Amino acid sequence: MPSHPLRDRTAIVGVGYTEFSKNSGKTTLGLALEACYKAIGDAGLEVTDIDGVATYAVGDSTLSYVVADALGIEDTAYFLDHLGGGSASQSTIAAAAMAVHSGVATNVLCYRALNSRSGFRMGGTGREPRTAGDAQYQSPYGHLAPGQAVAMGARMHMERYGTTKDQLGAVAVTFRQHASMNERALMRTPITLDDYHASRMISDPLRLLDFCLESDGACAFIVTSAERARDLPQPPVYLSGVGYGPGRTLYSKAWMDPTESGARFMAPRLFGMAGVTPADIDVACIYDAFTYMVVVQMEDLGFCSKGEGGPFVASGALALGGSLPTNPHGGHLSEAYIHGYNHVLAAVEQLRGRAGPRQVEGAEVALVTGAPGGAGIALPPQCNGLVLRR
Amino acid sequence: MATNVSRPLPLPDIDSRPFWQGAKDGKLLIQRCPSCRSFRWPPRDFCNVCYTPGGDWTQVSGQGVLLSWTVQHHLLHPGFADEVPYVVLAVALDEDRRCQLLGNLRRATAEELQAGMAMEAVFEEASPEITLVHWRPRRD
Repeated sequence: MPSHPLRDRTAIVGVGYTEFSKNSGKTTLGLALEACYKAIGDAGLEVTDIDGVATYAVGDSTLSYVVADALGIEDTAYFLDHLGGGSASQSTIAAAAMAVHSGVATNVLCYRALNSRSGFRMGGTGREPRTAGDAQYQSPYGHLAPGQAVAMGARMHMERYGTTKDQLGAVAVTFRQHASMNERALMRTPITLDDYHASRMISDPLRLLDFCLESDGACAFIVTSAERARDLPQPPVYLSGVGYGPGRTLYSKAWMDPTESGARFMAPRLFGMAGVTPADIDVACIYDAFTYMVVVQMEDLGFCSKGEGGPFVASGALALGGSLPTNPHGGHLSEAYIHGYNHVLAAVEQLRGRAGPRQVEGAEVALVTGAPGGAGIALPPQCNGLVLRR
Repeated sequence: MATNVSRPLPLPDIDSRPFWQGAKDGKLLIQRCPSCRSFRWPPRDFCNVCYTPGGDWTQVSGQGVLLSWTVQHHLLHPGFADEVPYVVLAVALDEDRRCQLLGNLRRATAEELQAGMAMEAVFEEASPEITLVHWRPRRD
């Protein structure tokens, strides 16, 4: 089979990030500027080299043209303001890769900046709930936060496959262990399964420690062509595969089954483009807004069979030193919640070989995913992911 | 604790107005494709099975099966301060399991719930304009 035309043709050559915190004391514009200038500097480029700007938001951040103006970029050949959170995150980098490879732009800056703790919180505070559109069939019943949707998906998975709370807890415990080695992580104190079970019930069957953090911060990346990447100071991290997938919503034509996610549609395309199989993945950064999302993605991405996600995540496979080291930075559960972008940061850091005590030895191929797509009742359905290699 | 903060209420639109009017009249109205007769939820201008425009508003039985549920302990909105913990559930209608409605549980506790159990609609006035559709286990 001929190689996919986009495989390894573009690369991430610069990364920048702010402190991750509960209260940045800055605007999302201020956060974006800091991360963007750092990424441009890390790439060994000048502001004048940037001719594309891409971001995503859920009405909680600063638009790309505002950031471009404030950075001092005078001409943008490409821009993107994608609506969405985890359902959009890595797709913005995919879009940058397509813009670069097609010749529309040369060096594209991608950023996500949010005050998702001190400002608008996905968990339901900071602005009034939506009651128009499809939300009119949800909000009046107090169905207001993603955690409720995922809780209903998790319950179905538990009923159908016997997935246990211990198995969900194992995800939280493993990622916290990883975060304990990460100076950027907001939650660094190791936890036990007992701590997990003792944590406050939020959306039964999900407890506090099944939920990710809500945090303030920004991450930024520079995407350029593979050719230009080789002349820049950082070791290139090639975009081997970019993937998108649908999920089912409560309102899809096809039967919506929250024990399955859009990742099962995306995985063959994503791995196929990259020319890899799940067995080739050295390190995975899996979107973990909730523990259950990791369980369902492990199945749908092909790391274990359907229904075996619970035993798989509790087997030790996800630990550093396990068969699939996952979220070595601590993930959204314990590092911070930068809507999928801190997962890209973690993957790049691993492939540059600069992850310090949490480095996966010899990591060459990394998988990064955004929200799984569906996997809950009334959640945005799209999913997205990247396969990166050094 | 009593609260004066009102709960979020639906903002009916051109697509959904007949549904909410039906609920106010104590009827569960669902669109049905004039061509292929598929039931459709939520209200849309076109059938996504056969792509025909329009939908016939049809009263359905108000009976379905429980897909899943969550018990919300954490207060997300001050309007629900008197309700926590409350159950949000998803019910698939008997007429077409692809029609899946959310609601709250009425006249039962979460402990009684089992996936797949038979449920029926309960109409409850939320304001002078809006009646919400909730669900209770069917007791035949």
